[in-house]
Amino acid sequence: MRVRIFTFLLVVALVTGLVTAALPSGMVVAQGITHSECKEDLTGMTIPFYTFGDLSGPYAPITQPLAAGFSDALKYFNGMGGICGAQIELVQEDSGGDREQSLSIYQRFSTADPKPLLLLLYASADSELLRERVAEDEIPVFLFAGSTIGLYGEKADTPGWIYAGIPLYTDQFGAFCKWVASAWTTDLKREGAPVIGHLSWEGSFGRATETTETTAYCKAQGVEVVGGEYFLPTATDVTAQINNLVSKGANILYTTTLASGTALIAKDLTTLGLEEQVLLAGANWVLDSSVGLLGQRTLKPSGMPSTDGVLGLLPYTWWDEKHPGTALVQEQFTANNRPPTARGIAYLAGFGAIDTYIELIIQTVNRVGKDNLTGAEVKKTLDGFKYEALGGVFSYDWTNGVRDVRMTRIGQLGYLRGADGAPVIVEVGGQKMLVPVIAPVTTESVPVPDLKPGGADVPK
Amino acid sequence: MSANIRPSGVFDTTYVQDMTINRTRFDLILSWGFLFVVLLIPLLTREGPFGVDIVPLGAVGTVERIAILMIAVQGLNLLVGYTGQVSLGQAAFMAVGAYSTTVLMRQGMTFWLALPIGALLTGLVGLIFGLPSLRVKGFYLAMATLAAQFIIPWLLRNPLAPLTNGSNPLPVPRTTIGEFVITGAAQYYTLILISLAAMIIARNIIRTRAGRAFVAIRDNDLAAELLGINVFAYKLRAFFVCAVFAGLAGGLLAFESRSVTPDQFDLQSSIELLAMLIIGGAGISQAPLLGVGFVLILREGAIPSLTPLLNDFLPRLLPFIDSVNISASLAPALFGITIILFLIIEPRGLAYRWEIFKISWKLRPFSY
Amino acid sequence: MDFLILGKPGYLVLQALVTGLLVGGVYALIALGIVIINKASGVFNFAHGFMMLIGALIFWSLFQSTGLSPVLVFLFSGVVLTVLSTGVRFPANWKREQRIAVIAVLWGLTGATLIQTDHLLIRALVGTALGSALMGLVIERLTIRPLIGQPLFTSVMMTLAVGQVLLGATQLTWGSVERGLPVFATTNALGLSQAFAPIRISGVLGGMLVIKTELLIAFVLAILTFVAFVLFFNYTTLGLSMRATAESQDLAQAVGLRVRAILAVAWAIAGVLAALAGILHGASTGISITMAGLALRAFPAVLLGGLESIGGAVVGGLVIGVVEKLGTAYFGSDVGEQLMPFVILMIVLIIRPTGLFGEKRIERI
Repeated sequence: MRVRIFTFLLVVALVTGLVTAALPSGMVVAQGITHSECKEDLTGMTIPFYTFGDLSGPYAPITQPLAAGFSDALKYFNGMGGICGAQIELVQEDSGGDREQSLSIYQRFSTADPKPLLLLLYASADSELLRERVAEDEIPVFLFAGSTIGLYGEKADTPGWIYAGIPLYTDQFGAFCKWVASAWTTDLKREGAPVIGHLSWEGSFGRATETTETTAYCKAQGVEVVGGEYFLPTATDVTAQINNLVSKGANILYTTTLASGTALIAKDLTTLGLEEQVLLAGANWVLDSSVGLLGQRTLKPSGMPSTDGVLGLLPYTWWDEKHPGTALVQEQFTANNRPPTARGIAYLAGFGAIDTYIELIIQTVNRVGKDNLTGAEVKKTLDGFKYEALGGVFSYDWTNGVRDVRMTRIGQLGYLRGADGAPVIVEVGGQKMLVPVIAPVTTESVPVPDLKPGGADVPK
Repeated sequence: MSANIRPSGVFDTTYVQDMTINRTRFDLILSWGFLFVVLLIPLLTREGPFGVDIVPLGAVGTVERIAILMIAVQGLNLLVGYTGQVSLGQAAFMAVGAYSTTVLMRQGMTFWLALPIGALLTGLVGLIFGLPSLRVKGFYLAMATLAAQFIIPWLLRNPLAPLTNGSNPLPVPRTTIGEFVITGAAQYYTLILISLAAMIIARNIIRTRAGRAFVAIRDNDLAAELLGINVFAYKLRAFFVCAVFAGLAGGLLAFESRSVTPDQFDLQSSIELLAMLIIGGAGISQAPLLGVGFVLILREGAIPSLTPLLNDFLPRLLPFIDSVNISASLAPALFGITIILFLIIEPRGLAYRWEIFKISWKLRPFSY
Repeated sequence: MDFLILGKPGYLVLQALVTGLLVGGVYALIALGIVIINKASGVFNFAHGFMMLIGALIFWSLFQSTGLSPVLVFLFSGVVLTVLSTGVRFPANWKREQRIAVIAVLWGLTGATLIQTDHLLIRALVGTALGSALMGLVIERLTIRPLIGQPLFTSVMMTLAVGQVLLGATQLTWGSVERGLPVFATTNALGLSQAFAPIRISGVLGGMLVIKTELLIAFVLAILTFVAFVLFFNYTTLGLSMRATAESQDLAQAVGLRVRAILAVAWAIAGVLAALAGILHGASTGISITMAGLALRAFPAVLLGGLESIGGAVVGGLVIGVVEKLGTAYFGSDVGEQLMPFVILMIVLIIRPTGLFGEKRIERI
């Protein structure tokens, strides 16, 4: 067994060496995905990739596909030569969604020898909790969430050591307000003025969107925000909350929840017969296949599922779009026999994160050499980092003190239709299902408004 | 069950002897020896002055958390173990302590003043939630205190949001003495010393009139009342002391984690604190140390060091199960199984086993 | 003209009231499961939420049309039936052969039900009943029985650890994917399963009243279960002996009741009740790992009704459901769902220290 591993490693090393030597500028990993050229050969090194999160707690539905994405991406990229020949090793721990445990895991990671070069997190609350400490410990964090406090601090004036892979939740909401104001009578063919009510999960994730700044910005765009209702993720029914918001005049519900929350809202809207009267929209997590899979049991009078037509923010390229990056992820997804339920944003994000990590380390090593590779140096690279992860599936530009993604599109959840316009039905595990499809509504990415406290786009 | 079994013929000859905390030379050596080892820990890490890498740096944090949670569990021990009033609201009381300490510090007060004020404030809140103990008993009382677990975070999230940042974490200012920022080893020693002081205070409370009244109430509150003990007043005192300890622990937790959030103090944490007490052995003063130590070392030391091995090994053993599922199941399953085995083998807690061990050692070579 | 109740449109208040009652049905079922165990053994079961999750997932698995291995099915159902039959008291005049024959016939029937894939609902129901009963029995045998005679609180903590192991087991077997459970559903023209349409009644107090069908079914089932339990505890030998055991384990043993078997049966019943609550909740919102947290929200219901009272569990569940929804309608969900159930609980406990219908114990020195 051991001999086999060594042979394998030798072959990998040789192949890597050959590939590295054969490519003059830039390293093409797959069609459309290019990493910077390696100036140093790191063969023989093992570079750890640290992440922790809620593998077994309430956010587990998003974590497990993410973990699957990590493990498949590592298998793929390590097979393609890793980071200039160095193998990437996944160090992952389970916090169970408990903040105490997050703190203790972080403490264990931050005292590892050598220190982590980068830490990947995706819980807003974890990032906010650890913001000060990662700066002291000089460990940059790649966060897949849009927490203003985590990225820019309590007064939103100090960009810290945390870099986000999506726009801030406040800015996402602002971008939605701006779009909905312009599309209300035209694309959406609605009457009157758009009025938004927030309906999200209790906790720092769900409550991130409704701030005085976003409300003021939306008002300036001609969209009124009538307040928010925050329900527990265990809720069986949100009809009372919907009724409250609708009786205040809301004709759009904006939600910051994960799949089960969004599906529940969509279902209860249909139950109350409000599916035509009230639009459902939400942050980027709302546009996920799991929402489409979970929410297709309740049908609108039109015969389509209650989640059909949910709007959301789409700051990346989705699986269903033709793109070499998504094609690669799809190929690996199929090759690893992942279940269709895992085909969502989390798996894609996991893949993108590993790709970004590789590029980040290559650039840092090229600048300072492999012996000076530290978190502080990685942070310096991040401060001027511009990268099209997976060839443009995710587009990162963290120059000029920006810590999040500043461009987005608006997308919509729908269901795959055949040539005749009828929905396509597939059979999974003996159950007939519709196939959720997420497609952009606006083809061009637009900049998101800056709605941090004191941000540039906040109305004075 | 007596903690004071000594060979026959050995008697206390003075009241001072009868009341000392370390009743035998063996206890004395053990206590000081243990304290010495604990104080040595940060010196033996790779960042210590000797440059030896005997203790992993991560262990320092674990010991810090043990020291902090020990205070909260000792408070709970006074209430549950000695007075017999079950409380499921300890984490909420910790939240009160953590938030009041932090808010005071953010108003410019020094940590050294904010911490005791926060603890006292928590004590007052504890009194309010102790009021139902006048009428409510047993598990119903546990559930009445459970209400604290929901009402207090609600207050922190909603009406108090201007002070507490609502659902978002509240950053805690650094603690300083003059220009010197307390961090690293200094933070460790501060926590250990405060924790030690709290343990000594708790130990002394048990030896006072109040402590004896607590025990009388636990054993039979009607009988205690007939003996002239004002049961309700003492129950309230127990709630007050318990909450003060929780507030102290909360303030220290804020100091250690430098950021507090309502999520940190959920029902789960309260139940865990109670579990630590049961595992340690309720009603014995060493219980918090043993219980908290056992649970935290299990969770922060044993399980994380086992998981990479199992993550490597189990998928090969169970190829039909998705490896992601395996890694997601490890932490809860290992934790649960260990606690189950522990409770079956030692249902009365570690402190109980420790006493049995000490007694059998003293009585050797005779087994009885 | 609007019909207002305390400044709210009347139909919205009625809607909140009705939804609250229906949601309360699920709480009542959860509370029933907790009360059954508490009544029999004095243990408050913190693992109930995880038992719900597992029950619902077993149901989900059997509700899929994938066939099961006949060998495994017969082995499994044989084991479960053998274990379960030890708790049943056969009529005394039955011969040994008759008893064995009855069990064998049952075994064959269950096995056949579990193998077929034509009637998925029946298969899932039978399989889940067996599986969840077995789960209850195993929990009791492995973790609760060794603690008989130990401090009661150790057993309570034990259920906490059991919950963690059950969580690990669900993660291992099913992962954390959120699943729809189309059980109260019909097949529509496209061949897709579609949830039953809600019942809409228009023109009530100035608006439309919507009743969710799956919640209504859950409510009716909860009430039926309650009635079944009342009958069971009042008229069957097993039920009466369970009540006797709850009264005093020592006395029950003295009059020849098999106390240990009765405790085991209580856990098996609680397992089935948990599964039922899990299925009903899952049918309305899908099965997700957050389901385990729903049991926490039923705690006030248990305490409100009283830890030992079957009727109290039902009343408590309904009251908490109504309080939540009315509170949400008037003050918003943070007050209604997070604050009011506990404030009501505190008030009730201060007025009636053992809940509305709990046992008052006379204390003597």
